[in-house]
Amino acid sequence: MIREEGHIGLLEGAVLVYAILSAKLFISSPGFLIEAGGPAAWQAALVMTAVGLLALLPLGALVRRFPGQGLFRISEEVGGPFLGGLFTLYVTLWFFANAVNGVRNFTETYIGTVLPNTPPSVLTATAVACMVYASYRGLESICRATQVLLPVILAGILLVLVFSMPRLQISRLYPFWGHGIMATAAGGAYYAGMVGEAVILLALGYSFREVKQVRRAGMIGVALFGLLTALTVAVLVMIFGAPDAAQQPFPLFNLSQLVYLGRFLQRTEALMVMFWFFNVAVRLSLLFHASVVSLTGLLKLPMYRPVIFPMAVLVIATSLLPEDSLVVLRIMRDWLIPAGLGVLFVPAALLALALVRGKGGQSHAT
Amino acid sequence: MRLRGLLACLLALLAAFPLAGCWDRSELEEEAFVLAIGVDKGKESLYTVTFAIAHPGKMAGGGKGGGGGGEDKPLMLTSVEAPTVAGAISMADTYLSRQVSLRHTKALFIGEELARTSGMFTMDEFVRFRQARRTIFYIVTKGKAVDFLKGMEPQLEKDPQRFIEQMTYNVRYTGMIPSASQIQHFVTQVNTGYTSPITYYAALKEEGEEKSAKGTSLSESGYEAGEIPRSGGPNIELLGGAAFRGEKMVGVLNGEDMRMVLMLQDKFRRGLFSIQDPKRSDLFVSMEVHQGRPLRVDVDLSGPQPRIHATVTLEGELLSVQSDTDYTEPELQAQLEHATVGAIEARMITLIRKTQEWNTDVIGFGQAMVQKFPTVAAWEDYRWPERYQNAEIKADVRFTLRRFGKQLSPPRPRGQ
Repeated sequence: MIREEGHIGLLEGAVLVYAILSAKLFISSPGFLIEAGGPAAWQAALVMTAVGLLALLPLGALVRRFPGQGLFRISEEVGGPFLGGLFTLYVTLWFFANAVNGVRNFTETYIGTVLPNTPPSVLTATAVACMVYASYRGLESICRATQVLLPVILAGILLVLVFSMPRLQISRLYPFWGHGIMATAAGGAYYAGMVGEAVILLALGYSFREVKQVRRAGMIGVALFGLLTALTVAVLVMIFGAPDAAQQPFPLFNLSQLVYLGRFLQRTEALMVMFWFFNVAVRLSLLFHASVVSLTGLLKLPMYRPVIFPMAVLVIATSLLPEDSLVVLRIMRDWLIPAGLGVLFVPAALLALALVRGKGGQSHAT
Repeated sequence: MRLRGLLACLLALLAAFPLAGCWDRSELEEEAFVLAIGVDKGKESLYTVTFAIAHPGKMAGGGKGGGGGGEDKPLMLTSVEAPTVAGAISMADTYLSRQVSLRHTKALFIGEELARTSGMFTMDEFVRFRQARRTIFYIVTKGKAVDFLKGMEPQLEKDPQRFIEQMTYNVRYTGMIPSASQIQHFVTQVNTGYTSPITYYAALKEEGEEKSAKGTSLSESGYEAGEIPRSGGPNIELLGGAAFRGEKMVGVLNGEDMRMVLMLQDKFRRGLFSIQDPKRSDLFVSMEVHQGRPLRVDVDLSGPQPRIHATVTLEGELLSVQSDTDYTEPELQAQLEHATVGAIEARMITLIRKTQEWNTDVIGFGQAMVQKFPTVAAWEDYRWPERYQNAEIKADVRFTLRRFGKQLSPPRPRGQ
């Protein structure tokens, strides 16, 4: 067992899942869904949520069979050192790749919107410093900070959506079935990989006070994210129209620039960008911490903190690899999201394997 | 423990330094804030781009008000020939002491000639460039944009940008300009194709240049910008709209047309109307008309051509009767209501025919049409923009006089 102080409960877990997912709304993820669903992008978002929730169902049964254990322990016990190691490595690499892509995306987004003259290295260093400090403090600290920041994180999205209401044009949600029911369903299912980060509950599941709360936390977090995503893409389509909204790398930033309630309320993006920074910092910290902890388990190290610094250096180095901002988006759309679909089904695979091999169960019950 | 607290405070303070964004700081004194941009066809290059740059000292006080580039005016004007707006910014940066910035740009004026020929070439720059905002007003000027910017004298406002912004609010109580005309609306309408764009249309009023009314019963609104018979006041008129087909301008709508467009878009709020008196054709009845119920648009796709039936429900308040007819009498009231319906319906049909001749659905019937199609492919196969010209469109107006002002019968000379 990795030495890490503190425990988390249902609320912290749900907030954690929501926060790690919601930061995606500020970048091009809504655009992916709009590209897939067209005017019916909100339906694609609901399909994505449904698939994500279904995939998370086995998580509860799995952690109940292995109470107080995280991904690396469970996989090792279920799959043995080789197959179990592969499971852990797959999830760890995915978290790590997401953290790397997230750092670069953060840098590109801020340069592309509000800080065009700031050297990328400064932005990257700022993001990585947040990640390192948060990971050093541990999961409980991240969760507490996330809880405190939750109102700000929610405000960052909800305020923009509310202030945009005068511009809504419902007819832009038509044709109702977008590119067709099958295309919308397939697009939604494909992008279910966007909620793959919910598996962080498995990676850090040992921190939960009560095992039965793990699944509920995941469900609440994913459902909240899914509903907010459906609402966000619907608002984006109603304001920009599907063809325009699908082409925007920072749709919520563009939306906040449109807030124009007479002479009294304009230029809200300056405030929103600050709110979004908190969300991005939480997301990156959680992704980084999950990959650090999982790697520590994989390497059978007793403490995770010595792994932080080398991992941080790796994050910085690899985040510089993509040639341009489009490559960063393509990596996310063509590699990380499909791979996330696989990550989402890791709990189901482990549970199936545990049932077949008769691992876990009563002997582990608390 | 105390040391750790101090260290944490120190760290928080240090962390605050990069928040100032050192590399992206901008000093107000180093920037030339462009309040409005004019784009015309160029002579040497593709475009003549005119920047109306704020003169902060003169805007705050001391200036006589107005635009143009005179010594006391709050705007400095400069025009550059360049193939792109970014190119023009770059050129202007070479001879201005400050760096040109579009962060406070509020209006984009496009000369009519350019709007009719190339339309949207410049638009991508305003959508993509981080300094520009999609909330910039898109205004087509009668004649060249540079001449408009040079000649404009708002008078009532020191800040011409504020003047333009204030003018756009007029839609709430005149209904004679489009409900909105920002780059955002233009780009989205062109991209979705459910409706064609319609933008503000502005012109300078030359003193002594008066044109006659267009000869309709709603005569006070039957003018285009620059044609209102008047004297004095600001020399800028923002009236009617510029109709586009796709990205190119195809025609000008007058104030009266715009009222009909707004009614058929369900965006008409209220407006003061003068209606020919049904009992005395040489006199007028004035009333305030406002929307009674939401617009209803029925679409029938069963025939070879689409059939559209719009029902507009209006209500009104009597403001004045020039004749001595007492329109509070139920029978006469019905006659006045009927006359009002007839006048508005006639204008509506004229407007619809006009847009069909231009083959552009600026009214936005496409928004009702699209709801009849299950998928994007089915909608695109239908090719609505091409069918608009031959669509059978009918407009019904329902009008009820709800209020009669502060007096019932009109004042009459004693003994009559």
